[in-house]
Amino acid sequence: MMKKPVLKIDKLSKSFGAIKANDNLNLNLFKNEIHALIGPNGSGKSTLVKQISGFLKQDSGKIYLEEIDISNYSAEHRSRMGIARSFQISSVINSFKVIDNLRLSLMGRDGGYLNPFNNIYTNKDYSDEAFDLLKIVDLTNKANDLVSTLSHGDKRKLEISLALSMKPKLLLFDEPMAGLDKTSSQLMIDLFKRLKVKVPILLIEHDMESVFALADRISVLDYGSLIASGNEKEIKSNAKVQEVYLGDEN
Amino acid sequence: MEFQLLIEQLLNGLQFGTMLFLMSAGLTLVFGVMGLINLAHGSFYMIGAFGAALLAEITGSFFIGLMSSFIVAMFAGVITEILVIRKLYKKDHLDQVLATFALILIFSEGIRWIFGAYPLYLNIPSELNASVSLPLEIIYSKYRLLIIATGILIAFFLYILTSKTLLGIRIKAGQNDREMISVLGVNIKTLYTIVFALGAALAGLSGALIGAIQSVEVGMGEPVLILAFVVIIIGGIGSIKGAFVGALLVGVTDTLGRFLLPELFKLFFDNADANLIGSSIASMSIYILMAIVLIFKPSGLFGERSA
Amino acid sequence: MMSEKKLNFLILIFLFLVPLFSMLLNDIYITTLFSKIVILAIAGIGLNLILGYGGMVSFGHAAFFGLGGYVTGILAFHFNNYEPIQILVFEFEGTNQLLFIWIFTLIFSSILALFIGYFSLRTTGVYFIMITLAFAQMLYYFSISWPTYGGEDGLSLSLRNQIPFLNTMDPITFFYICYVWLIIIIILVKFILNSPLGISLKACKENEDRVRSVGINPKKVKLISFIISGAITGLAGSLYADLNRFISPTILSWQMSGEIMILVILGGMFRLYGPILGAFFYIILEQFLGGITENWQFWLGFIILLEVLYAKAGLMSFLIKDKYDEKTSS
Repeated sequence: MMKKPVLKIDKLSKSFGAIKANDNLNLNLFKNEIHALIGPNGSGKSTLVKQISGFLKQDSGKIYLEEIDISNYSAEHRSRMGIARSFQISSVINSFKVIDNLRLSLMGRDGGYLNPFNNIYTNKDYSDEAFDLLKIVDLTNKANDLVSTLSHGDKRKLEISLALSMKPKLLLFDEPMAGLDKTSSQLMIDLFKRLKVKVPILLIEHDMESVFALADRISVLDYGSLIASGNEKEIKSNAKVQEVYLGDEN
Repeated sequence: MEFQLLIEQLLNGLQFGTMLFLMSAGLTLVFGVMGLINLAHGSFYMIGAFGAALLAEITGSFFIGLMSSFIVAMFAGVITEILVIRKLYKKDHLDQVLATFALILIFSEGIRWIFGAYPLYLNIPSELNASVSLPLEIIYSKYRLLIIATGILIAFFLYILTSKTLLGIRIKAGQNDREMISVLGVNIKTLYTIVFALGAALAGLSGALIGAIQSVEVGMGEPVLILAFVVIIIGGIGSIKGAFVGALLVGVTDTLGRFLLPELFKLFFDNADANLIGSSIASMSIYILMAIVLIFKPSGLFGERSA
Repeated sequence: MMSEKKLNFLILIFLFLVPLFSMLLNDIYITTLFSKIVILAIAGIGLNLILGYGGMVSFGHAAFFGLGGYVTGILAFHFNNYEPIQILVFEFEGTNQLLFIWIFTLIFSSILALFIGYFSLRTTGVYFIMITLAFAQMLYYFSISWPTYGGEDGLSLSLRNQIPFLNTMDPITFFYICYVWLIIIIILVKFILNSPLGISLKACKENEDRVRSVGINPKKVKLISFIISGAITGLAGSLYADLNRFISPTILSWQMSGEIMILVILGGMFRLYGPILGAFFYIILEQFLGGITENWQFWLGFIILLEVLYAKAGLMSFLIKDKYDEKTSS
């Protein structure tokens, strides 16, 4: 029996003027896996993430989450359905405390965000859950710090915990290691390994070392098209990939 | 008869529109190049009118008055830019709105202080204060035709200036990329002052031109300012072409609306009600026009970037 | 120098005692003046909800202030001349009962805010500033050209509208009515700021993408906040009409929008009590400068200019010591 994908992307295309950012893409993500998406700058990775998360509307093609066609759903609807993302450039509420960022997302997940009465700051369930989430990314000691005072690495961690707070069905991480030092990167790698048994991850990453350390499957994008897909060995030995991607690196 | 009346109204709309264009050109350039919302733009309109009235009175020449409106407003523009406006370019829109709102208070009360509360009059010389016969038995005011001609001439001049000259290229560069312009070695401070002063001068000139038809008084600039904002929002902020199209659209819509809407409503209501409803809606027509444009094109007809 | 909480408390106590000062000084005008301050403060708190906390620069809040005033004036007008209000085929009686008038005001200004907000929130930045201004101007010109309720000349009410068992014509009674409303509005807005809606609004101000990616629709958050803001400002307009027993298109003018905005900034955005202090200084300045020079607006202009250029944080931050980090929890 065929395994059913958590996320299925079917012939997705997106152009900006004459530039084809995504050209007839097919991709899927199964349970218990980290699927890494690599490709040179401008190959259409971020465009794909934006379309999956609903921040950008595709020109044609379909996106399925657990066999539900979500192609026309708004970004906020998709977030509530369990597509959680991180942004290429850390995107957190800098003027809030760390824990208030989590309160915001927990509340967003549960709905009722138009309620003008219940005090969100004194809601004990949310506080407890927020602390549990901060524990996962090792940020509990900074719970009451203003986000604007956090280091780059800590903001990344917070962003991951925000994604986890949504009780996601899948995680979309857009270059989560960018700008992190070795220790923080290693921490992320360990964390992602632990996470994937619960939630599959679509990982976009420039750092090849991390990709090879993490990914069960790697897909390579070039000029908006998928040129190869497979495990580490297959990718490394693929002539096309070496030409357009790995060759450039050296 | 109806036809002549319609043409006359259309010309009035055109005259209103070209005058609005003179007002809007500076506003849209200042926003496009420097990213500044300038509520005090109407003050230069008023300053130009007062300058013209004063110098026409002293010299006895209407034309010296008109020319001095341009120069007086330009000077006021330079001084304002150097003392205050400069400090606002990097601030957010809210600060700009407040600071230039404060400038309105200062200018209006300052003028009231100097000239007193009574309106001044700027008299059109008799050779212009006459009617001319146009084809199709249309008779129209010479002076208003002069305004239309001036407006179109200046529109043409601005078009050449912004698209064919070095200054225009620098302005364009500034609009697209404020970093780049300083890399080009252009003295950005001076450029900003020139653009601001040019806008102020045009506003001053239109104030004098209209001051001669209406009266020259404190507070005359603000209603026109709001209309000029409507114009540049409709046209798309930063675009001279947009300001021109927007100004004519607003001018004609307003004038014809006041003329035609009561007639239109007479088809459905009795005369008194039709006049009432028609003129009420006509008074709102340009704002309705603006709302419609923004709903369908949130950055205006010719706007490129959202601000 | 003191904490914000303490200053807030002092402001409320001071306002509460105003009628007493007024009696001691044997000058009832002080009470009336402070009624105006309290009313403008309510309008400012309404605007501040979206301006300070939501980052929406509405330059058209006079629309709500004026609508509140006109709803109040029109209902009273029809009560006094015994003619029902006709809207299409429906007829309504006028009323002079404030409790009804306030409810109508809240309903109508909410509907107006829904309408204006729905269209305006499609735009951002300077376009938002201008489209809100345009909607207010529409109402302004409509009020001028519609003669039934006085057109440009406005409409006078012979008596203030009434509340059972209270004499609203008594300046002190009317002041306390306004004061109670101020307290209610403060409590309401405080609730909102700590609520899911409030935290979403504050987040929208900074980063809408983040807000969407946690499942929140920023448009809805902003629209609901805009409606609440408009309703509060509308209520202030209603009280203002009763205070002056007069309404005219001036309360719909863009200068009115500017005034409300200025007193919010003057007092300090992001602070719940900021508009109260702002209204206080604005009105006192008007009185004080108006007393010594005819050209007081000239000097007011200078003061606002200096405030914007050099003291952005507003008056509140002069008086309290905690270095304010604008937004976190309230």
